[in-house]
Amino acid sequence: MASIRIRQGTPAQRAYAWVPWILVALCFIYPLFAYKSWMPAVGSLDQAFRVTPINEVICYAVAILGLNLVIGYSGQLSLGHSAFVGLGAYTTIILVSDHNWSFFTTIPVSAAACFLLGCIVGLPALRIRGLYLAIVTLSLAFVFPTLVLKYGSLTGGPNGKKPARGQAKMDPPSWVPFNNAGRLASPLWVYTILMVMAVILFILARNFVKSRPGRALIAVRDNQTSAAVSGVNLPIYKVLAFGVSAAFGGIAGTMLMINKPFASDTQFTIQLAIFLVVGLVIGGAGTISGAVPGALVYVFIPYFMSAWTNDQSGMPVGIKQITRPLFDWLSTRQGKGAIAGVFFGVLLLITVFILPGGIIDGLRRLRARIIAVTPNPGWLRDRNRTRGLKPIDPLEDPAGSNVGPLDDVIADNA
Amino acid sequence: LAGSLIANTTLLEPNFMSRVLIYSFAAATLGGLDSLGGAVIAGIIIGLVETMSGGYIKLIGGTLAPTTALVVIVVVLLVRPNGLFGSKRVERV
Repeated sequence: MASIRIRQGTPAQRAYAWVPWILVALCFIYPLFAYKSWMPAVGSLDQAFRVTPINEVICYAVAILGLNLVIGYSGQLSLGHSAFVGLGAYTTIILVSDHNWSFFTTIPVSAAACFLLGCIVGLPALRIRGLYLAIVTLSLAFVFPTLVLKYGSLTGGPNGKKPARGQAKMDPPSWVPFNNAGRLASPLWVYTILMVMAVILFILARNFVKSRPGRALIAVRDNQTSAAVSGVNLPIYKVLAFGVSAAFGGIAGTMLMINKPFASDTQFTIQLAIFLVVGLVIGGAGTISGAVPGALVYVFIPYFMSAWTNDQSGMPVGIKQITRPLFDWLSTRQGKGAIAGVFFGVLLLITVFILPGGIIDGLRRLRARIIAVTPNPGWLRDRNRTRGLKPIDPLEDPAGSNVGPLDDVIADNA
Repeated sequence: LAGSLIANTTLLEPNFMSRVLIYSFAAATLGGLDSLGGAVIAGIIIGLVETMSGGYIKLIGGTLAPTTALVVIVVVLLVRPNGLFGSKRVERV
Protein backbone atom coordinates (compact mmCIF):
# COMPACT_ATOMS: atom_id res chain seq x y z
CA MET A 1 0.00 0.00 0.00
CA ALA A 2 1.18 3.44 -0.80
CA SER A 3 1.76 5.72 2.12
CA ILE A 4 0.64 8.91 0.36
CA ARG A 5 -2.53 9.07 -1.66
CA ILE A 6 -3.34 11.89 -4.03
CA ARG A 7 -6.73 12.30 -5.57
CA GLN A 8 -6.94 12.81 -9.30
CA GLY A 9 -7.79 16.33 -10.45
CA THR A 10 -6.57 18.06 -7.29
CA PRO A 11 -3.78 20.66 -7.40
CA ALA A 12 -1.53 18.19 -5.60
CA GLN A 13 -1.98 15.68 -8.36
CA ARG A 14 -1.32 18.26 -11.02
CA ALA A 15 1.87 19.30 -9.26
CA TYR A 16 2.84 15.64 -8.96
CA ALA A 17 2.44 15.27 -12.71
CA TRP A 18 4.30 18.43 -13.67
CA VAL A 19 7.09 18.96 -11.15
CA PRO A 20 9.17 15.96 -12.26
CA TRP A 21 9.14 17.23 -15.84
CA ILE A 22 10.22 20.69 -14.72
CA LEU A 23 13.03 19.11 -12.72
CA VAL A 24 14.10 17.08 -15.76
CA ALA A 25 14.09 20.21 -17.92
CA LEU A 26 16.22 22.00 -15.32
CA CYS A 27 18.66 19.08 -15.37
CA PHE A 28 18.89 19.46 -19.16
CA ILE A 29 19.58 23.18 -18.93
CA TYR A 30 21.94 22.91 -15.97
CA PRO A 31 25.12 21.78 -17.84
CA LEU A 32 24.95 24.93 -19.97
CA PHE A 33 25.58 27.08 -16.93
CA ALA A 34 27.46 24.69 -14.67
CA TYR A 35 30.83 26.14 -15.65
CA LYS A 36 29.88 29.66 -14.56
CA SER A 37 31.37 30.67 -11.27
CA TRP A 38 28.06 31.69 -9.70
CA MET A 39 26.65 28.24 -10.20
CA PRO A 40 27.38 25.50 -7.69
CA ALA A 41 29.11 22.79 -9.71
CA VAL A 42 28.01 19.21 -9.26
CA GLY A 43 30.55 16.51 -9.89
CA SER A 44 33.17 17.54 -12.39
CA LEU A 45 31.02 19.86 -14.46
CA ASP A 46 32.89 22.93 -13.27
CA GLN A 47 34.53 23.40 -16.66
CA ALA A 48 32.86 23.68 -20.02
CA PHE A 49 34.89 20.98 -21.78
CA ARG A 50 33.67 18.42 -19.26
CA VAL A 51 30.30 18.57 -21.03
CA THR A 52 31.75 16.43 -23.85
CA PRO A 53 30.99 13.06 -22.19
CA ILE A 54 27.44 14.27 -21.58
CA ASN A 55 27.18 14.93 -25.31
CA GLU A 56 28.22 11.34 -25.84
CA VAL A 57 25.54 10.21 -23.40
CA ILE A 58 22.94 12.03 -25.52
CA CYS A 59 24.12 10.30 -28.70
CA TYR A 60 24.12 6.83 -27.17
CA ALA A 61 20.77 7.49 -25.53
CA VAL A 62 19.31 8.00 -29.01
CA ALA A 63 21.02 4.80 -30.19
CA ILE A 64 19.62 2.82 -27.25
CA LEU A 65 16.23 4.39 -27.86
CA GLY A 66 16.29 2.98 -31.39
CA LEU A 67 17.41 -0.40 -30.12
CA ASN A 68 14.57 -0.30 -27.63
CA LEU A 69 12.04 -0.03 -30.42
CA VAL A 70 13.15 -3.32 -31.90
CA ILE A 71 14.07 -5.26 -28.74
CA GLY A 72 11.85 -3.73 -26.10
CA TYR A 73 8.73 -3.10 -28.13
CA SER A 74 8.70 -5.59 -30.98
CA GLY A 75 10.53 -8.30 -29.04
CA GLN A 76 13.09 -9.20 -31.69
CA LEU A 77 16.60 -9.63 -30.36
CA SER A 78 18.84 -7.50 -32.55
CA LEU A 79 22.57 -7.49 -31.84
CA GLY A 80 23.53 -5.59 -34.97
CA HIS A 81 22.81 -2.07 -33.83
CA SER A 82 26.47 -1.03 -33.91
CA ALA A 83 26.39 -1.45 -37.70
CA PHE A 84 23.51 1.02 -38.01
CA VAL A 85 25.21 3.56 -35.76
CA GLY A 86 28.38 3.02 -37.77
CA LEU A 87 26.63 3.39 -41.12
CA GLY A 88 25.06 6.64 -39.97
CA ALA A 89 28.40 7.92 -38.73
CA TYR A 90 30.22 6.98 -41.93
CA THR A 91 27.48 8.41 -44.15
CA THR A 92 27.82 11.71 -42.35
CA ILE A 93 31.58 11.81 -42.28
CA ILE A 94 31.97 10.82 -45.95
CA LEU A 95 29.41 13.37 -47.14
CA VAL A 96 30.97 16.08 -45.01
CA SER A 97 34.62 15.50 -45.79
CA ASP A 98 34.39 14.30 -49.42
CA HIS A 99 31.38 16.19 -50.70
CA ASN A 100 31.41 19.31 -48.55
CA TRP A 101 27.94 18.82 -47.12
CA SER A 102 27.05 20.42 -43.84
CA PHE A 103 26.46 18.16 -40.86
CA PHE A 104 22.77 18.97 -40.63
CA THR A 105 21.90 18.12 -44.21
CA THR A 106 23.41 14.66 -43.76
CA ILE A 107 20.89 13.76 -41.05
CA PRO A 108 18.06 12.77 -43.43
CA VAL A 109 20.51 10.95 -45.68
CA SER A 110 21.97 8.80 -42.92
CA ALA A 111 18.52 8.18 -41.46
CA ALA A 112 17.23 7.06 -44.87
CA ALA A 113 20.29 4.88 -45.57
CA CYS A 114 19.97 3.20 -42.19
CA PHE A 115 16.23 2.78 -42.62
CA LEU A 116 16.87 0.91 -45.87
CA LEU A 117 19.60 -1.27 -44.38
CA GLY A 118 17.40 -1.91 -41.35
CA CYS A 119 14.52 -3.05 -43.56
CA ILE A 120 16.87 -5.39 -45.42
CA VAL A 121 18.15 -6.83 -42.14
CA GLY A 122 14.57 -7.08 -40.95
CA LEU A 123 13.65 -9.36 -43.84
CA PRO A 124 15.32 -12.49 -42.36
CA ALA A 125 13.43 -11.74 -39.15
CA LEU A 126 10.27 -12.77 -40.90
CA ARG A 127 11.41 -16.38 -40.89
CA ILE A 128 14.05 -16.51 -38.19
CA ARG A 129 13.23 -15.97 -34.54
CA GLY A 130 14.75 -15.78 -31.11
CA LEU A 131 18.37 -16.82 -30.68
CA TYR A 132 18.80 -17.58 -34.37
CA LEU A 133 17.83 -14.03 -35.21
CA ALA A 134 20.29 -12.79 -32.59
CA ILE A 135 23.08 -14.67 -34.37
CA VAL A 136 22.08 -13.33 -37.78
CA THR A 137 22.07 -9.74 -36.53
CA LEU A 138 25.26 -10.36 -34.59
CA SER A 139 26.88 -11.33 -37.87
CA LEU A 140 25.94 -7.90 -39.21
CA ALA A 141 27.77 -6.27 -36.32
CA PHE A 142 30.70 -8.58 -37.00
CA VAL A 143 30.80 -7.83 -40.73
CA PHE A 144 30.55 -4.04 -40.51
CA PRO A 145 34.15 -3.33 -39.35
CA THR A 146 35.56 -5.74 -41.94
CA LEU A 147 33.61 -3.96 -44.68
CA VAL A 148 34.98 -0.65 -43.45
CA LEU A 149 38.49 -2.04 -43.72
CA LYS A 150 37.80 -3.61 -47.12
CA TYR A 151 36.66 -0.36 -48.73
CA GLY A 152 39.41 1.75 -47.25
CA SER A 153 39.50 4.25 -50.10
CA LEU A 154 35.99 5.36 -49.17
CA THR A 155 36.06 4.93 -45.42
CA GLY A 156 39.65 5.75 -44.59
CA GLY A 157 40.32 2.15 -43.56
CA PRO A 158 42.17 1.51 -40.32
CA ASN A 159 43.27 5.14 -40.03
CA GLY A 160 39.73 6.32 -39.62
CA LYS A 161 38.19 9.27 -41.37
CA LYS A 162 37.78 12.85 -40.38
CA PRO A 163 37.25 16.14 -42.23
CA ALA A 164 40.47 17.79 -43.33
CA ARG A 165 41.76 20.59 -41.16
CA GLY A 166 39.85 23.78 -41.76
CA GLN A 167 37.39 22.02 -44.05
CA ALA A 168 33.73 21.57 -43.10
CA LYS A 169 34.24 23.48 -39.92
CA MET A 170 31.00 23.49 -38.10
CA ASP A 171 29.60 26.80 -36.94
CA PRO A 172 26.85 27.09 -34.39
CA PRO A 173 23.46 27.79 -35.95
CA SER A 174 22.02 31.20 -35.23
CA TRP A 175 19.39 29.93 -32.77
CA VAL A 176 21.99 28.55 -30.39
CA PRO A 177 22.78 31.03 -27.62
CA PHE A 178 26.52 30.39 -27.83
CA ASN A 179 29.04 31.54 -30.40
CA ASN A 180 32.19 29.78 -31.43
CA ALA A 181 34.38 32.30 -29.65
CA GLY A 182 36.47 30.91 -26.86
CA ARG A 183 38.04 27.52 -26.72
CA LEU A 184 35.56 26.14 -24.22
CA ALA A 185 32.32 27.31 -25.79
CA SER A 186 32.22 24.61 -28.47
CA PRO A 187 31.03 21.66 -26.32
CA LEU A 188 28.26 23.87 -24.98
CA TRP A 189 26.64 24.70 -28.29
CA VAL A 190 27.14 21.14 -29.47
CA TYR A 191 25.35 20.13 -26.27
CA THR A 192 22.50 22.49 -27.12
CA ILE A 193 22.11 21.11 -30.62
CA LEU A 194 22.31 17.48 -29.54
CA MET A 195 19.90 18.02 -26.69
CA VAL A 196 17.33 19.65 -28.97
CA MET A 197 17.71 16.79 -31.47
CA ALA A 198 17.44 14.18 -28.75
CA VAL A 199 14.32 15.73 -27.23
CA ILE A 200 12.66 15.77 -30.65
CA LEU A 201 13.66 12.15 -31.28
CA PHE A 202 12.42 11.00 -27.87
CA ILE A 203 9.06 12.67 -28.45
CA LEU A 204 8.88 11.07 -31.90
CA ALA A 205 9.65 7.65 -30.44
CA ARG A 206 7.06 8.10 -27.72
CA ASN A 207 4.43 9.07 -30.26
CA PHE A 208 5.45 6.15 -32.46
CA VAL A 209 5.04 3.72 -29.58
CA LYS A 210 1.68 5.15 -28.55
CA SER A 211 0.30 5.17 -32.07
CA ARG A 212 -1.17 2.35 -34.10
CA PRO A 213 2.15 0.91 -35.38
CA GLY A 214 3.59 0.98 -31.86
CA ARG A 215 0.64 -0.91 -30.44
CA ALA A 216 0.93 -3.39 -33.29
CA LEU A 217 4.59 -3.95 -32.38
CA ILE A 218 3.71 -4.57 -28.74
CA ALA A 219 1.08 -7.05 -29.86
CA VAL A 220 3.69 -8.82 -31.99
CA ARG A 221 6.02 -8.96 -28.99
CA ASP A 222 3.45 -10.37 -26.62
CA ASN A 223 2.09 -13.01 -28.92
CA GLN A 224 2.86 -13.16 -32.58
CA THR A 225 0.05 -15.52 -33.51
CA SER A 226 -2.66 -13.62 -31.68
CA ALA A 227 -1.35 -10.38 -33.16
CA ALA A 228 -1.66 -11.84 -36.64
CA VAL A 229 -5.12 -13.11 -35.85
CA SER A 230 -6.12 -9.64 -34.62
CA GLY A 231 -5.24 -8.17 -37.97
CA VAL A 232 -1.65 -7.03 -37.49
CA ASN A 233 0.29 -7.37 -40.71
CA LEU A 234 3.30 -9.23 -39.31
CA PRO A 235 5.80 -8.84 -42.19
CA ILE A 236 5.23 -5.11 -42.54
CA TYR A 237 5.45 -4.34 -38.84
CA LYS A 238 8.48 -6.52 -38.19
CA VAL A 239 10.40 -4.92 -41.03
CA LEU A 240 9.16 -1.48 -39.97
CA ALA A 241 10.45 -2.06 -36.44
CA PHE A 242 13.91 -2.85 -37.77
CA GLY A 243 13.84 0.06 -40.19
CA VAL A 244 12.77 2.67 -37.65
CA SER A 245 15.20 1.34 -35.08
CA ALA A 246 18.02 1.50 -37.63
CA ALA A 247 17.05 5.05 -38.59
CA PHE A 248 17.35 6.10 -34.95
CA GLY A 249 20.71 4.35 -34.82
CA GLY A 250 21.84 6.21 -37.94
CA ILE A 251 20.85 9.57 -36.49
CA ALA A 252 22.74 8.62 -33.34
CA GLY A 253 25.77 7.97 -35.54
CA THR A 254 25.41 11.40 -37.13
CA MET A 255 25.11 12.96 -33.68
CA LEU A 256 28.29 11.19 -32.60
CA MET A 257 30.02 12.75 -35.60
CA ILE A 258 28.67 16.20 -34.74
CA ASN A 259 30.14 15.73 -31.29
CA LYS A 260 33.51 14.36 -32.47
CA PRO A 261 34.03 14.38 -36.24
CA PHE A 262 36.11 11.23 -36.44
CA ALA A 263 35.02 7.74 -37.48
CA SER A 264 37.09 4.57 -37.36
CA ASP A 265 36.35 0.86 -37.59
CA THR A 266 37.25 0.26 -33.94
CA GLN A 267 34.39 2.48 -32.78
CA PHE A 268 31.60 0.38 -34.22
CA THR A 269 32.55 -3.17 -33.32
CA ILE A 270 30.56 -6.02 -31.88
CA GLN A 271 31.41 -4.68 -28.43
CA LEU A 272 29.38 -1.55 -29.06
CA ALA A 273 26.42 -3.69 -30.14
CA ILE A 274 26.59 -5.81 -27.00
CA PHE A 275 27.12 -2.88 -24.67
CA LEU A 276 24.15 -1.08 -26.22
CA VAL A 277 22.00 -4.10 -25.40
CA VAL A 278 23.45 -4.15 -21.87
CA GLY A 279 22.65 -0.46 -21.49
CA LEU A 280 19.14 -1.12 -22.74
CA VAL A 281 18.54 -3.90 -20.22
CA ILE A 282 19.99 -1.89 -17.34
CA GLY A 283 18.00 1.19 -18.26
CA GLY A 284 14.80 -0.71 -18.88
CA ALA A 285 13.66 -2.54 -22.00
CA GLY A 286 10.25 -1.45 -23.18
CA THR A 287 10.42 2.02 -21.66
CA ILE A 288 11.19 5.17 -23.63
CA SER A 289 13.01 6.93 -20.81
CA GLY A 290 15.08 3.83 -20.03
CA ALA A 291 17.49 4.86 -22.78
CA VAL A 292 18.80 7.72 -20.65
CA PRO A 293 20.04 5.74 -17.61
CA GLY A 294 21.25 3.08 -20.04
CA ALA A 295 23.40 5.58 -21.91
CA LEU A 296 24.61 7.16 -18.65
CA VAL A 297 25.80 3.76 -17.49
CA TYR A 298 27.34 2.98 -20.87
CA VAL A 299 29.39 6.18 -21.01
CA PHE A 300 30.18 6.94 -17.40
CA ILE A 301 31.11 3.55 -15.98
CA PRO A 302 34.20 3.17 -18.17
CA TYR A 303 34.88 6.89 -17.75
CA PHE A 304 34.85 6.84 -13.97
CA MET A 305 36.35 3.38 -13.63
CA SER A 306 39.47 4.41 -15.50
CA ALA A 307 39.58 7.76 -13.73
CA TRP A 308 39.17 6.29 -10.28
CA THR A 309 41.66 3.49 -10.70
CA ASN A 310 44.23 6.18 -11.38
CA ASP A 311 43.13 8.75 -8.87
CA GLN A 312 40.58 8.21 -6.16
CA SER A 313 40.28 11.85 -5.13
CA GLY A 314 37.36 12.57 -7.44
CA MET A 315 35.17 9.87 -5.97
CA PRO A 316 32.05 10.72 -3.95
CA VAL A 317 32.91 10.69 -0.26
CA GLY A 318 30.55 7.97 0.91
CA ILE A 319 31.58 5.53 -1.77
CA LYS A 320 35.27 6.23 -1.42
CA GLN A 321 35.56 4.77 2.08
CA ILE A 322 33.77 1.59 1.11
CA THR A 323 35.52 0.91 -2.14
CA ARG A 324 39.01 2.08 -1.24
CA PRO A 325 40.52 -1.39 -0.76
CA LEU A 326 39.08 -2.48 -4.10
CA PHE A 327 40.46 0.48 -5.98
CA ASP A 328 43.79 0.33 -4.15
CA TRP A 329 44.07 -3.23 -5.34
CA LEU A 330 42.93 -2.36 -8.85
CA SER A 331 45.41 0.45 -9.27
CA THR A 332 48.28 -1.97 -8.77
CA ARG A 333 47.08 -4.17 -11.64
CA GLN A 334 47.94 -3.94 -15.28
CA GLY A 335 45.31 -2.99 -17.83
CA LYS A 336 43.23 -1.29 -15.19
CA GLY A 337 40.99 0.51 -17.65
CA ALA A 338 39.69 -2.82 -18.92
CA ILE A 339 38.08 -3.49 -15.56
CA ALA A 340 35.02 -1.57 -16.75
CA GLY A 341 33.94 -4.62 -18.74
CA VAL A 342 33.85 -6.71 -15.56
CA PHE A 343 31.74 -4.07 -13.86
CA PHE A 344 29.35 -4.09 -16.79
CA GLY A 345 28.88 -7.81 -16.40
CA VAL A 346 28.37 -7.56 -12.63
CA LEU A 347 26.01 -4.63 -13.01
CA LEU A 348 24.00 -6.48 -15.63
CA LEU A 349 23.63 -9.50 -13.34
CA ILE A 350 22.64 -7.33 -10.37
CA THR A 351 20.13 -5.45 -12.48
CA VAL A 352 18.54 -8.58 -13.83
CA PHE A 353 18.21 -10.03 -10.33
CA ILE A 354 17.08 -6.94 -8.43
CA LEU A 355 15.38 -4.84 -11.08
CA PRO A 356 14.09 -7.22 -13.74
CA GLY A 357 12.50 -4.34 -15.61
CA GLY A 358 15.56 -2.09 -15.48
CA ILE A 359 16.22 1.13 -13.61
CA ILE A 360 13.17 2.99 -14.90
CA ASP A 361 10.81 0.17 -13.99
CA GLY A 362 12.38 -0.02 -10.52
CA LEU A 363 11.89 3.72 -10.01
CA ARG A 364 8.28 3.43 -11.09
CA ARG A 365 7.59 0.63 -8.67
CA LEU A 366 9.29 2.57 -5.88
CA ARG A 367 7.15 5.59 -6.70
CA ALA A 368 4.01 3.48 -6.69
CA ARG A 369 4.86 2.34 -3.16
CA ILE A 370 5.18 5.91 -1.88
CA ILE A 371 2.57 7.83 -3.81
CA ALA A 372 -0.61 6.53 -5.33
CA VAL A 373 -3.03 8.52 -7.44
CA THR A 374 -6.60 7.65 -6.62
CA PRO A 375 -8.99 7.96 -9.52
CA ASN A 376 -11.76 10.46 -9.03
CA PRO A 377 -14.28 9.71 -11.71
CA GLY A 378 -16.25 12.82 -12.50
CA TRP A 379 -19.47 11.08 -13.47
CA LEU A 380 -19.84 9.45 -10.07
CA ARG A 381 -19.22 12.74 -8.27
CA ASP A 382 -21.69 14.64 -10.45
CA ARG A 383 -24.28 11.93 -10.21
CA ASN A 384 -24.21 11.82 -6.46
CA ARG A 385 -24.43 15.59 -6.27
CA THR A 386 -27.49 15.75 -8.52
CA ARG A 387 -29.21 12.95 -6.65
CA GLY A 388 -28.56 14.59 -3.32
CA LEU A 389 -26.43 11.72 -2.06
CA LYS A 390 -23.36 12.14 0.09
CA PRO A 391 -20.39 13.08 -2.11
CA ILE A 392 -18.03 10.21 -2.69
CA ASP A 393 -14.57 10.44 -1.24
CA PRO A 394 -12.43 7.70 -2.73
CA LEU A 395 -9.76 8.43 -0.12
CA GLU A 396 -12.08 7.40 2.67
CA ASP A 397 -13.99 4.87 0.70
CA PRO A 398 -11.71 3.14 -1.77
CA ALA A 399 -14.05 0.18 -2.05
CA GLY A 400 -16.87 2.41 -3.27
CA SER A 401 -19.47 1.14 -0.80
CA ASN A 402 -20.90 4.64 -0.54
CA VAL A 403 -21.76 4.83 -4.20
CA GLY A 404 -25.41 4.18 -3.59
CA PRO A 405 -27.71 2.15 -5.77
CA LEU A 406 -26.43 2.06 -9.31
CA ASP A 407 -29.81 1.48 -10.93
CA ASP A 408 -29.65 4.71 -12.95
CA VAL A 409 -26.24 3.79 -14.35
CA ILE A 410 -27.52 0.39 -15.29
CA ALA A 411 -30.54 1.97 -16.93
CA ASP A 412 -28.31 4.39 -18.87
CA ASN A 413 -26.21 1.59 -20.22
CA ALA A 414 -29.05 -0.75 -21.05
CA LEU B 1 40.11 -27.33 -23.41
CA ALA B 2 39.15 -25.58 -26.64
CA GLY B 3 40.83 -22.47 -25.28
CA SER B 4 44.14 -24.22 -24.77
CA LEU B 5 43.97 -25.68 -28.27
CA ILE B 6 43.22 -22.31 -29.85
CA ALA B 7 45.86 -20.49 -27.88
CA ASN B 8 48.55 -22.28 -29.90
CA THR B 9 47.31 -20.87 -33.19
CA THR B 10 46.79 -17.26 -32.24
CA LEU B 11 48.40 -14.68 -30.07
CA LEU B 12 47.36 -14.99 -26.46
CA GLU B 13 45.64 -11.78 -25.46
CA PRO B 14 42.58 -10.96 -23.41
CA ASN B 15 40.30 -10.54 -26.41
CA PHE B 16 41.44 -13.52 -28.45
CA MET B 17 38.42 -15.58 -27.50
CA SER B 18 35.93 -13.20 -29.10
CA ARG B 19 36.63 -14.60 -32.58
CA VAL B 20 36.26 -18.14 -31.30
CA LEU B 21 33.03 -17.12 -29.61
CA ILE B 22 31.59 -15.85 -32.85
CA TYR B 23 32.56 -18.96 -34.77
CA SER B 24 31.27 -21.36 -32.17
CA PHE B 25 28.01 -19.43 -32.04
CA ALA B 26 27.87 -19.58 -35.81
CA ALA B 27 28.50 -23.32 -35.92
CA ALA B 28 25.94 -24.02 -33.22
CA THR B 29 23.35 -21.92 -35.01
CA LEU B 30 23.99 -23.45 -38.39
CA GLY B 31 23.69 -26.96 -37.04
CA GLY B 32 20.69 -26.14 -34.91
CA LEU B 33 20.89 -25.05 -31.30
CA ASP B 34 19.61 -28.35 -29.92
CA SER B 35 21.66 -30.73 -32.02
CA LEU B 36 25.14 -31.88 -31.00
CA GLY B 37 26.08 -33.65 -34.21
CA GLY B 38 24.78 -30.71 -36.19
CA ALA B 39 27.27 -28.42 -34.48
CA VAL B 40 30.17 -30.66 -35.48
CA ILE B 41 29.11 -30.86 -39.13
CA ALA B 42 28.27 -27.17 -39.25
CA GLY B 43 31.65 -26.30 -37.75
CA ILE B 44 33.38 -28.20 -40.56
CA ILE B 45 31.15 -26.54 -43.19
CA ILE B 46 31.83 -23.06 -41.87
CA GLY B 47 35.55 -23.62 -41.71
CA LEU B 48 35.67 -24.99 -45.25
CA VAL B 49 33.47 -22.28 -46.75
CA GLU B 50 35.49 -19.58 -45.13
CA THR B 51 38.95 -20.73 -46.16
CA MET B 52 37.94 -21.84 -49.64
CA SER B 53 36.04 -18.69 -50.53
CA GLY B 54 38.92 -16.65 -49.20
CA GLY B 55 41.38 -18.62 -51.29
CA TYR B 56 39.54 -19.01 -54.56
CA ILE B 57 37.45 -15.88 -54.98
CA LYS B 58 39.62 -12.86 -55.49
CA LEU B 59 37.07 -10.22 -54.52
CA ILE B 60 36.64 -11.79 -51.11
CA GLY B 61 40.29 -12.27 -50.33
CA GLY B 62 41.47 -12.41 -46.76
CA THR B 63 39.49 -9.59 -45.22
CA LEU B 64 36.00 -10.65 -46.21
CA ALA B 65 36.47 -14.36 -45.52
CA PRO B 66 34.59 -14.35 -42.18
CA THR B 67 31.75 -12.55 -43.91
CA THR B 68 31.11 -15.39 -46.34
CA ALA B 69 30.68 -17.85 -43.50
CA LEU B 70 28.08 -15.58 -41.95
CA VAL B 71 26.31 -15.15 -45.28
CA VAL B 72 26.09 -18.94 -45.49
CA ILE B 73 24.46 -19.00 -42.07
CA VAL B 74 21.90 -16.37 -43.02
CA VAL B 75 20.99 -18.19 -46.21
CA VAL B 76 20.69 -21.56 -44.49
CA LEU B 77 18.58 -20.10 -41.70
CA LEU B 78 16.28 -18.51 -44.23
CA VAL B 79 15.61 -21.93 -45.72
CA ARG B 80 15.57 -23.82 -42.44
CA PRO B 81 14.81 -21.42 -39.57
CA ASN B 82 15.88 -23.94 -36.92
CA GLY B 83 19.25 -24.76 -38.42
CA LEU B 84 20.24 -27.78 -40.46
CA PHE B 85 19.54 -30.39 -37.80
CA GLY B 86 17.45 -28.50 -35.29
CA SER B 87 14.10 -29.82 -34.16
CA LYS B 88 11.02 -27.92 -35.13
CA ARG B 89 9.30 -25.82 -32.54
CA VAL B 90 5.61 -26.26 -31.95
CA GLU B 91 3.75 -23.03 -31.59
CA ARG B 92 0.89 -22.81 -29.14
CA VAL B 93 -1.46 -19.98 -28.50
